[in-house]
Amino acid sequence: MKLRAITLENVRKFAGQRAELSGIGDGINLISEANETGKSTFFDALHALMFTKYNATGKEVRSLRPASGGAVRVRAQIELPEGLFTFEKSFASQQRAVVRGGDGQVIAQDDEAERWAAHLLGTGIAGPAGLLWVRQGVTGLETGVKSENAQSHETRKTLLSSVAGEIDMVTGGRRMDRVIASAQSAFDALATATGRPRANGPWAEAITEADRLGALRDGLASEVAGLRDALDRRTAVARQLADLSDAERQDARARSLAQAEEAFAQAQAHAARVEAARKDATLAALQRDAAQGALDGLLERQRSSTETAATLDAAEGAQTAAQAVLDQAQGRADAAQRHATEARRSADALRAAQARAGQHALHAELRKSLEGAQARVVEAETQRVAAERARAALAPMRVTPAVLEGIERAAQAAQRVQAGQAGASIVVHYSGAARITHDGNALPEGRHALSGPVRFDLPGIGTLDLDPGEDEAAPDQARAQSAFAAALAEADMPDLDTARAAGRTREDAERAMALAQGRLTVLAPDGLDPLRAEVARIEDELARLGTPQEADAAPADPETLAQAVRDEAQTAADLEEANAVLNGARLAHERARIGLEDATRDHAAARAAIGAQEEAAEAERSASRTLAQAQALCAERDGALDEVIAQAPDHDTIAAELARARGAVEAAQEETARLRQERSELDGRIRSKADDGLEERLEETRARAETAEARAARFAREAAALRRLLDTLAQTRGAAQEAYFGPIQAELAPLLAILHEDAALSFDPATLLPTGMQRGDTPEALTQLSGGTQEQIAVLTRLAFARLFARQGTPVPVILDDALVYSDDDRIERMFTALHRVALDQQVIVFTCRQRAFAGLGGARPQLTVAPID
Amino acid sequence: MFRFLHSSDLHLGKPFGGFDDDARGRLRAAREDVFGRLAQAARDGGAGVVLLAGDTFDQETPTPRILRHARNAMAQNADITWVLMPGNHDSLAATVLWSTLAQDRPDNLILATDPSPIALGAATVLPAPCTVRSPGRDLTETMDQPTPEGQIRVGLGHGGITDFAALGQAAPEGPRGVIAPDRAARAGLDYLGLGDWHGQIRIDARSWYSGTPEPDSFKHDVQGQALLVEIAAPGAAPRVAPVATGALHWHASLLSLTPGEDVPALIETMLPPRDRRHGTLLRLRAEGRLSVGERRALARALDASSPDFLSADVDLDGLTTLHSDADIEALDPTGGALRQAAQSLGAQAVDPDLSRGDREEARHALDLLHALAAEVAP
Repeated sequence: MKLRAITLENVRKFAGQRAELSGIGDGINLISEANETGKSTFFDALHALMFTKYNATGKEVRSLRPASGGAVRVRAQIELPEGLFTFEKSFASQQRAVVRGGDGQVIAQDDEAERWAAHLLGTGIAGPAGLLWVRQGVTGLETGVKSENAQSHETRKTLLSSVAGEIDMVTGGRRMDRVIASAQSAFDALATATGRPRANGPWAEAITEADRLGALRDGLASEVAGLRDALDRRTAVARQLADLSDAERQDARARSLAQAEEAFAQAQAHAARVEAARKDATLAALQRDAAQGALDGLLERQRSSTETAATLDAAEGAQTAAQAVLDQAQGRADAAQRHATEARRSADALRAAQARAGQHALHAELRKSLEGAQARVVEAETQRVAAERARAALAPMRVTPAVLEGIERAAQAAQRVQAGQAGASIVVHYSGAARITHDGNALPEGRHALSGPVRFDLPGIGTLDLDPGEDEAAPDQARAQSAFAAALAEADMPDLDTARAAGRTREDAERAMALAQGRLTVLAPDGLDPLRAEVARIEDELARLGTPQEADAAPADPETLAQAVRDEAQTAADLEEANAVLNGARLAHERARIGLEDATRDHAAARAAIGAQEEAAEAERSASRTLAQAQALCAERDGALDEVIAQAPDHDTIAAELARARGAVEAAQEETARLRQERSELDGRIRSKADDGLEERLEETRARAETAEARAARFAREAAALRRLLDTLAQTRGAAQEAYFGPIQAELAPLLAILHEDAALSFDPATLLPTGMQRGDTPEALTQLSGGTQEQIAVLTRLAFARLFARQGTPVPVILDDALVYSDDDRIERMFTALHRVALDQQVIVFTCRQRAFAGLGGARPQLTVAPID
Repeated sequence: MFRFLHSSDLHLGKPFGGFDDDARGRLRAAREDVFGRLAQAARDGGAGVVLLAGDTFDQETPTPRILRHARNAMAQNADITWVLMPGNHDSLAATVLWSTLAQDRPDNLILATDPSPIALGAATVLPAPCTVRSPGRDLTETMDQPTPEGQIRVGLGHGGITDFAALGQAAPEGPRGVIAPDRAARAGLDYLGLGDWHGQIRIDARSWYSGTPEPDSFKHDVQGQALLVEIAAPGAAPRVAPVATGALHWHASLLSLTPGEDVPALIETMLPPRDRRHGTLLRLRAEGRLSVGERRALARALDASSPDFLSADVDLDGLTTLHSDADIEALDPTGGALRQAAQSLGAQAVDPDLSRGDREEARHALDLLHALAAEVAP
């Protein structure tokens, strides 16, 4: 498709006029006119012809009308492979569209004409041709309101947006966007971005409802299980009650109880009979035992009398023997007493002599001790007096060792000061012939003491006065001497030697006092008073002993004394033994006496008990007869008892049988009562559940839960499918974008290289807009580029699309209306080169007011003619 | 001669929780009104007795309202003698149920709660009530007991027979029961009326399952029926005639579809007549394959028809959508990303390396893509 001529009638400034742009050739066409010549009017009118419906009344149409009004007409001559066509539209008061062939024949009108144009332009009124229009760039003259920069930005934005829009259209992206939006909306209604059920969404609500119903169902199922258990239990209870209420079984229990009670009554009666027989037997046995006791008593008394007589005889014999033993023991004891008395007396005499000799020796020892003690008292007193005297002598002696040490230090200090003063001197060394003279004498080399100021003569120089500083040292010497004198005065000593003599005298006195004190301490460590008390104590002891006799000085013979003591012990032991024997004899004698008395008494009693001889025999015969009768009765009663016992039934068994029969009846009654109570409780529970429609509610809830779970599952499947759909759409859209951007960038690369070597554009995959340019290693955001560069990139991008369409066999004109207003001279030249490159197989129509700047563009120069409308 | 109506499995009190409130209400009402329809069917057939062979109640503890309503319904049809026998759902373990009925029993109601013979004019009914939910033994053995000479012997039992499979397609999913299928012959019965199976089945000339008078599921796909039975004399062959008693219809259809079907016409053919739809519960399952357009047409037709029904449960998950090149081209004539997305999902839907779940998910996503793209004008 190529434009060959454009004609405007009654459009804007061309009111009542026909303006025609003719001679539009292949390739570059430049319409370079001054401002206000109508270039933008041609641009806008051509755009309206192509993209505004003939019956439109919108802003674009209104902007074309001149102030004087009237119909607006736009016509274009279009060359197609099929031939030359004229496409004309009238807007405003005359609304029509016409397509004519090269012969002037009308091919289509109005809507048909619009469809013809749409087909011509590829994909409709909003088709790719729109991409190739570049409206007037930034001039600041369109509205007069916005600033230049804002206008520039808005223009570029419109341009780039249209680029993106056309890409979308080509890739089908707009429709896909709507599909994606619909799918995303459906997905968002169900799920979160992470695929989880969205809160308050239908999926989440379905899950919540399913969970709620599931929990309700489980609870009801549990209750129904309880109800079923109750029903089963109720059946079992009814069965047990029926068994318990069975008439035959009840009769059997009653019969069993009656029989047991009868057997028990009979057993009780027989037991009474056994008890009576046992009592009779017991009574007979008592009578027998009594008779036996009487006979035994009689015989016992006879035997006792005989025994007591023998016992009496024996007691009498024993008493006689005991008396003899007693007499013998008494004699032995008396003899032992005598021997013991004699032995003790002899021993006592020997022990008295021994005691007296001991006291004599003790007295002598005490005397000796007294003498020693008295001597120590005297010596101690002597030492005490000596010590007191030494202490009294020390009191006035003021030169103590400390005082003497102070005096010695002061003396030494005075001596040191004096010695220091005496040390001032000079040392003379000569290296030449000249000599120092003093009072006319040459001063030899070496040290020379200075005792006071002196003047030396220095030949050839003059005199030298030396002063050893005697006046300055005097105060130290005076202080030392003064301190020394003060120390002596303090000790009341005239000089150092006297002080030293006084110090030695004091030391001697101190040693004497220490010696006396030490001796005193040895003699009387606790003082003189205890020593004197010891003397008094010994004297008292001696007084108590009295004066000893010389005859008592000899002690007893030790062997004699020891033998006497042994004899004394032996005779005492013999006496003790004899006394023990005597006491034993006395006890035996007493026992024999008592035994005799008892035997005498017992025998008398026994004799009294049996009475006379004839009466005793008769009593024995009578008792024997009574016993025989009692024994016979007892045997008879025992036989009767054995017989009745042998006939007795098993009482314990009968009692157990009765207890069992009674227990069975009672247990049946209790079990019946318990089961009736349980049945009543079960009935109440079951009826309560029935009233509540529990099973019905469970079935209903179960079905509703299944429905809710199925619904939630459907939502889950739907969400998963939507997620998969969205992922697939995103992947394929990305791939499609890549597929379309490849050719676009391939077309763009050589165009971009004309302006910038090694430059490449980057695009935002979401907006499909150029986002930056990389030159070398430096990436730059589009917004950081200059306005001119941005503008150039926008135009080049369009040219790339134009090349792409041309290669696809649908070439459409590229129309630029002052699109390069910000490009400098160098860049605009390069843009011209780019335009020429595109124009090799593409028609490019450039409107511009920049006549000088575009002078170098070259290409065809269509003619603009304006003439009144006929 | 003895003429009676044999029915069973009323399942009063069944809640139908899977349906919406409107459908649930009508389902329950239809079930509760079945006494009147049974009574009328008996009258119309000249019968004065209705034998209910178990499962009159859906639960062992029906609500007092259900019990009272049933009692009143039977009492109101006073010209009919009702014989109620416990089934497995309302077995004798439901002591409260049966004791409540016994306490307030109308004169025309006989409770067959033990195997004792029940004299009904020329016939003696030998019931075999279910003692518990699953007795585990053939309770109909008690039908061997003698009856007065000259009496027609009618057995009433509940549960499955031992060889349901022998009945073939009549009961393809029949329960495994314990009842001897030749019980009628063994016990010398003139007729054995059975309950438990909701479909109506003839076991032999003397043994029948009556089926439920008011269906409660899509399982049997028949209208509710009862059996009108006439026995001329002991030993005579019974004359058994099904009679319609159902108020609502349960209609289950399986659509097996192939491409090229005239889907709207097929739907219209498969669905019940329009005048019946208001009382019909529909469950429709589709399987097979359809093109995108055909599937869309199917969905539109079903969307249009569903409101006609008391309830419509439509499941197209078993239907595979064929996405032809033409469909995909129509989806995106430019050959752009939409078409590529469709092709990608189509490939995923048949990718053997993917799990079955992923393949189905991809197929679903592809269907969604077509549906969403159709909503967006090209």
